[in-house]
Amino acid sequence: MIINYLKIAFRNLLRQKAFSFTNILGLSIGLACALFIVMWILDEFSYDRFFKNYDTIYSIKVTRTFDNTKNTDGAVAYPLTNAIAEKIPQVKYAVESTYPSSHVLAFNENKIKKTGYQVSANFFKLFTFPFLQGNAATAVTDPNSVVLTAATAQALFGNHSPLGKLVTLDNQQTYKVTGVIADIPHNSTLQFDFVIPYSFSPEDYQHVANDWVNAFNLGYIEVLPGTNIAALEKQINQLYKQNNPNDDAKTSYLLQPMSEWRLYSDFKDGKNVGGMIDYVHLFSIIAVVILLIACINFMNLSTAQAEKRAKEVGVRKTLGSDRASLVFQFFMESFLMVCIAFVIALLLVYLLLPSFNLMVDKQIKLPFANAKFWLYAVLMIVFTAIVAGIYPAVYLSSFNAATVLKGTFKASNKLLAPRKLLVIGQFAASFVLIVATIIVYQQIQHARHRDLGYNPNDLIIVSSSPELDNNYEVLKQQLLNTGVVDAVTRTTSPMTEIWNYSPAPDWPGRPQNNNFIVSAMAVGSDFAKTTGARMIAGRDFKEGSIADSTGIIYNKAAMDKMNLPDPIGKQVKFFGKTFTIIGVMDNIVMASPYKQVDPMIMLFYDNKRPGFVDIRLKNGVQPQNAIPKIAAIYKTLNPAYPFEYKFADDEFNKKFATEELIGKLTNIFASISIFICCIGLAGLVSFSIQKRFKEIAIRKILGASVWQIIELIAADFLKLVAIAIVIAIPITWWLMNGWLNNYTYHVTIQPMVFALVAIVMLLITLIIVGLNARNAATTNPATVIKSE
Amino acid sequence: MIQIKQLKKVYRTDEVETVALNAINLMVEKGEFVAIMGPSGCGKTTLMNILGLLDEPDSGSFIFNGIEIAHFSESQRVQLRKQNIGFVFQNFNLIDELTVYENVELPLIYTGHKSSERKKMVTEVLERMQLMHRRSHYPQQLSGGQQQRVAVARAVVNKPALILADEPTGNLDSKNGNEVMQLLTELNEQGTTIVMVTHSEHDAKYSHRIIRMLDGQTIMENILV
Ligand SMILES: Nc1ncnc2c1ncn2[C@@H]1O[C@H](COP(=O)(O)OP(=O)(O)OP(=O)(O)O)[C@@H](O)[C@H]1O
Ligand SMILES: [Mg+2]
Repeated sequence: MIINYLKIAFRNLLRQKAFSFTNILGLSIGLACALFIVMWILDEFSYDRFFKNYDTIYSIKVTRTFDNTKNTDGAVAYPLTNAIAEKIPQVKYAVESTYPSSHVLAFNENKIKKTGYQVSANFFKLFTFPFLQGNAATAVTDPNSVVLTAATAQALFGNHSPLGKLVTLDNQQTYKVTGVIADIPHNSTLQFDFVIPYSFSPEDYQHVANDWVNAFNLGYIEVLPGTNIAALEKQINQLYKQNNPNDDAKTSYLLQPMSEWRLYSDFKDGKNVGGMIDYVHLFSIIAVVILLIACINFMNLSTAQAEKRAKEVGVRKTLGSDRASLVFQFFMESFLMVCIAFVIALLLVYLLLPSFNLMVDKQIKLPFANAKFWLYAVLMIVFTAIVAGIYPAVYLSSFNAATVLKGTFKASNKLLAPRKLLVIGQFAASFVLIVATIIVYQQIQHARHRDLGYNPNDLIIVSSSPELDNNYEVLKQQLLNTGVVDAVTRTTSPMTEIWNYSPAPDWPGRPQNNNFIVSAMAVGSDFAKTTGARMIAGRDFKEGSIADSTGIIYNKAAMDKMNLPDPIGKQVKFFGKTFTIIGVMDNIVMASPYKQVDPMIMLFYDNKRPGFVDIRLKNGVQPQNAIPKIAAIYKTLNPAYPFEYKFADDEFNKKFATEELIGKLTNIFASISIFICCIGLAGLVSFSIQKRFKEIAIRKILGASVWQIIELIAADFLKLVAIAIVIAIPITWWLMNGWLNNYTYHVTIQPMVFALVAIVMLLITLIIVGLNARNAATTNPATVIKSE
Repeated sequence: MIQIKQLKKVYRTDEVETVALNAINLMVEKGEFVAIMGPSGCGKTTLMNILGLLDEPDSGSFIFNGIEIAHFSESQRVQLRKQNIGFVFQNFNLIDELTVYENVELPLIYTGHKSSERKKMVTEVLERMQLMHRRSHYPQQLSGGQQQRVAVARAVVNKPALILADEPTGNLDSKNGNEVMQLLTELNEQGTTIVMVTHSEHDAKYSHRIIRMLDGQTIMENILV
């Protein structure tokens, strides 16, 4: 029986080629889109799942309160995890690591720059990265050991066995390779090329092991199954209070399960406020919307086409077919089309996957082996078939046999209402997506073209080293002598990142309750000259000025908070030392381009910790000409390090990665949704014209021009699209306003955008109607009338 | 008013070539009422379509109101048609989605009359055809005779100089048919030129002159009155 139905379904599909093609094309594209989104979402949810103890691992987050604002991050003081491991029995392991940083690994002549961190001895017991060589339990127990990823080992040693070999770090200490782990998959939140154990000199250790204030580490714990996490958080907070009773930051610890690391990374007011999960939700909605748009096409085209099959229904009914079997027959036709569309969609996904991976910066493979993927796929087919197929099946089977066969059958006008509603819904959804794309794009452009307070173009950033810091004066002079360099300075962090925060220095006349956090950076002489930052008052740090080692420069945001009249020459206290204010600088954007600039102080660069050398090229100098000259000088003065440089503007542009990805994805989905809408519209228009062929002919005989005919048909569809736009505008405004409010520094939505998209959409409608109606409008009416 | 000389029309389909009009000659004076008769397939409708500027001849001359129009472009023909010619068809050809009033109003919209003018003209013609009480009905709600009266109303609302009627009584019973013929006669008496195709000798008697056609040619002209 089913075979028989399928056979009929297949024959019908072949008989109405144009109709089947339109329907299947729209569905395949919609399904392919939905599949891509499902794969992206599955990948987002796959993060960190490869760890054996996925369900019992937590990271330690800390909320501190300054100036009445709560700030949450992962920075914990060194003694915390040891204390937790020792005092709290439910905790199986507690480990920590430093923040990742770049270092030069060397083996013989082979030097490579890699990212890594220091870790506790139990690190690999908690994080079960698979070891290719070495023993996970003991790999980082000896302070002079290093564990490499396979790729790092390959780069350093080629095909030689790495185990037991000595690696020099930053041209100083040597470490013995005790383990090689498999390369870290892209869906791991922890990313590194190598790790070494913590190691301190005995004096340093005395200090660090008792310092509960300064927090420079990230903490992780693994608990015993069934542990009450809320109670555990309480215990950790108590433990901290016992050790640091005079805490003025109102520090409070919380535990974040591994399953939330990737998707729930944002905190506000000490509470989790999501993160990537927002985009997961957004794209889930988009997937459903696109699938619905495709289904609506299907319903519209099937029901519009229905009138042609009214007679078939009538004959079948008189021959004794009951309604249920008719519903089943028509549903089988839909189901068959959905299945064909799904196969085509899989093919599309297979072909486009490499480009998709490149775009979203992932390495997703078609998860054929993943049962969950097939479950979703089957769900998708069933959902689509039901949504798209049931209504037309019920509608078609409802035709009355008597009226159909008498020839007095006319498709009921009732149907027009739902069909119109569906078209309105489709176009409203597309409108929302298109306007959203434009606003995301505008926002990115807005932030990108923001006045940064300095000039990031042609500003080269090179890492410094202890050797280079000692030779800095020579380096600077030689760089200036090349003729391609305008100015040189040093900074403790790159220009596009803020690495240090601390309470603001004490100033004379400071009110009791006025304490706030400042970002801090040490900079060399000629900082403003090199970066192009603007001094509002006072001066830049000067070369050779002894007094400048106790000088301090504030940015405008800090000055606004301090409310200190005539600041230049005033003295402030910072960590027990006295500094003299020598300058006030206009705000420079180093952190998020979407946020206002935070208060900041700048101290004079000393040689304690190597930072970065910033080089300003002369106006008009081509970077590709300047780089070799700079590289040559760098290599003679700093032979132990490979020469690596970055441009400040490139680094700044990296801050837009997420927004750009979101922009690109919405752009693609918006284009696809409007494309599917247009396919559907074209189908509906051609059905409508077929139905009105005689009317068009009569009107032509009575003197209507071609344009008047097109107008007549277009009016109906333009009305629908116009209604869709009117409905979509407030929805879009509400959605995008919400999104923009995530950013302090954002564009305001311009009504022009709505107007423009509306005009383009109406024009597209007109073109589609015009193309379809032209044929009808230019056919000789005499032949139409005759064939009646 | 109409002067046709050596007019030819050939239909070409994939295999066959049908000569629908074979060098036909025809004259219709202003104010005449002409009936065209002939067996099925002899080319009557083809001739009417050319007279009504719906179709182009392949060769020959067609002078309408003193102007040669055989070579007219589509838009020129539309212009001429909507101002000068009204149509009545065997199967009425009313638009189902429009009311009686709206159907009759249609030609006036395409000739660009103002809405107030249209109202006056439509009302006038509907009253004359005794259709006022049916003005908001849809075609399906009317009898065949009533529908044809609406079609005639629509054909004359623009006060065209020429009315072309292709078997106007073909779908009507004799009572309704006579009513329509009465109407056409009245219009003719008021000055409208009428060319009518018919299979009924009875209806042909209403005309001044019968033109008989066979195989795309006229065979004789018979002046009755
Ligand atoms: N579009 C067309 N394509 C091909 N042949 C056509 C076409 N229209 C008409 N013909 C042929 O031209 C000839 C004349 O047709 P026409 O419709 O003018 O006849 P008629 O006299 O009106 O017939 P009837 O009395 O049946 O209405 C016929 O042989 C017909 O088959
Ligand atoms: Mg005919």
